[in-house]
Amino acid sequence: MLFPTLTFGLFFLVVFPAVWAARSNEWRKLLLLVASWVFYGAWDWRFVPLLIGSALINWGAAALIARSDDARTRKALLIGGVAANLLVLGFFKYFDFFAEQAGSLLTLFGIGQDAPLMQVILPVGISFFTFQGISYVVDVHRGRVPAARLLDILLLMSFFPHLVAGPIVRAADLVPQFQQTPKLNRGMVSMGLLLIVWGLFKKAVIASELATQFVDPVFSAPSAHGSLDLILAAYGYAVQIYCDFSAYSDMAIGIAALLGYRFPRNFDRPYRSASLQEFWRRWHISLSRWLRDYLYIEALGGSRGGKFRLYRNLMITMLLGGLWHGAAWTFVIWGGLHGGALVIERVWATSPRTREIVLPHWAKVVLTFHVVTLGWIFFRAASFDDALAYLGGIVAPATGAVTVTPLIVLLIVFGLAIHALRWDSMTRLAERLRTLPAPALAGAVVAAMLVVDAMRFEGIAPFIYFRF
Amino acid sequence: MSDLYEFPAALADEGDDGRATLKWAGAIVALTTLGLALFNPTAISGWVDDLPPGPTNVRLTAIGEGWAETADRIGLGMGHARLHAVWKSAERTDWKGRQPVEMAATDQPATP
Repeated sequence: MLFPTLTFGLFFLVVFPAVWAARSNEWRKLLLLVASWVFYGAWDWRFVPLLIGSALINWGAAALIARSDDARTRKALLIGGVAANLLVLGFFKYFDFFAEQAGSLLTLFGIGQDAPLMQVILPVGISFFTFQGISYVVDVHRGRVPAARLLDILLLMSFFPHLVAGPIVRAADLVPQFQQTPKLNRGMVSMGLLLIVWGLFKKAVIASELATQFVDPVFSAPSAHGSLDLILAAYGYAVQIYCDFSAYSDMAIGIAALLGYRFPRNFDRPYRSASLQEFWRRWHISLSRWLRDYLYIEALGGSRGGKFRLYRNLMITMLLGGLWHGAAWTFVIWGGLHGGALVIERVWATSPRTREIVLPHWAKVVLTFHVVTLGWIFFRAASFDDALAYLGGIVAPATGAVTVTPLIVLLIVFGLAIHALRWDSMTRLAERLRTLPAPALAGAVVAAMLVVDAMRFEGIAPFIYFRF
Repeated sequence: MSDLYEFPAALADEGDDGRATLKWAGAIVALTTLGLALFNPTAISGWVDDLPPGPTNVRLTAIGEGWAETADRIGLGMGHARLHAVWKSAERTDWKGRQPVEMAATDQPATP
């Protein structure tokens, strides 16, 4: 059930009045929980028990940690809880990849046979809800949040707006909201509607148009295209993935707001970053904060232990961040590229030879954008060889066709130009909309949605991050 | 960039009356649904066409198509259809402002 579809619209038309008509907060949460399971079951009912089981494990581990006074027992429960989450994630996401790699390795030594692949189906959103579960168990162990009731944890992990593609909302942010009866104010409603319409536009018009009309054809046959097409398709993919993923986050935040809940910001105009470090403060903020807090600092020790340990930890964090996206070498290279660039930035800023050389701000923004775009080529390519062939076509001027159209260039420019907007431009607009009477605001929403629908490509492609 | 505004939907509460706000929000959702059903009837007929076949869905399909025809007669979907045609034309336009002949020939406003 995709957000920008009539099926989801009808689903929401049932959920919205039912939730607000609920007799008590407990009933409201139960309704939301059932609705979330229906939403998840629309993809594949077989994985609803997995979602429930995952929540039960995390609730149980956290409850036992909270009850225990013995540091060793608490640590053992923490390790057990985290390991259970990683086991679930590892099996569904990486089993086939590692079985295939092991088979190839054994074949190389002449002792292998064809590895028995199980063709494990990837449950949608598993990377998001397992990371959410891990953060809850760790936070309870650290004393950052108290252990919560079963209903709250089931809803925390299943809540449909963020279930399949984030943002990764932590227990500290959402459970206290679940414990109080939500109250709607006009600001939440106007901002929610604004984010939903803006998300629809970014996904259905910009991302879908770029993907179907230009980026997908170029990436599927790079040798048939000229250098100009290859360069613009790389820029196009940078805009596409931003508009696709941030659109989902915007709609998720907007839908949650209409139900009375606040989600954290997940994107903040990432391509205006003047460094990779800044990029990761603006891109997929909930994941980068998760990686920083639970992997880089909690598990690896962060910058403690000297600069070489800092560089090592940055590389490990980004390599694992790459692997989080999927079991493929292209994602590992993407993570390695980001990790390497982050290390180079640190070395550059601290080395006596280079720290005096400071580029102008605009040059740093351009450089950062191109490093990120280089990473996207590996991220988007079907294989490492395909990525190299793509880059080869850019470096050695290719003589293939030039298929880019004025509309595609306009969309790429527009997708980059929106990064120049003020950070609070949506807030300012929402502040104005909140004063409108209902018919006027509904009229504006209808007009905007009709324009989006008229401009969108036929059908709706799944969001890129659904496969992660 | 600001870390101060982490929750985009957390606009200042200006002493809203919860019940009145809920009525206001409910009216917006209801009117938006009505507006989209009125002015974009092809979305409904397209959606019911994609439903798996069955006795209930046959009736739904008939209702969806009936509404699309009625809306077409009244001209409710004209604005949407014209904008769609303009967009499709822009999609096909090349750097010299030309369109492939066989494509341009079909570039009429789609029937809603």
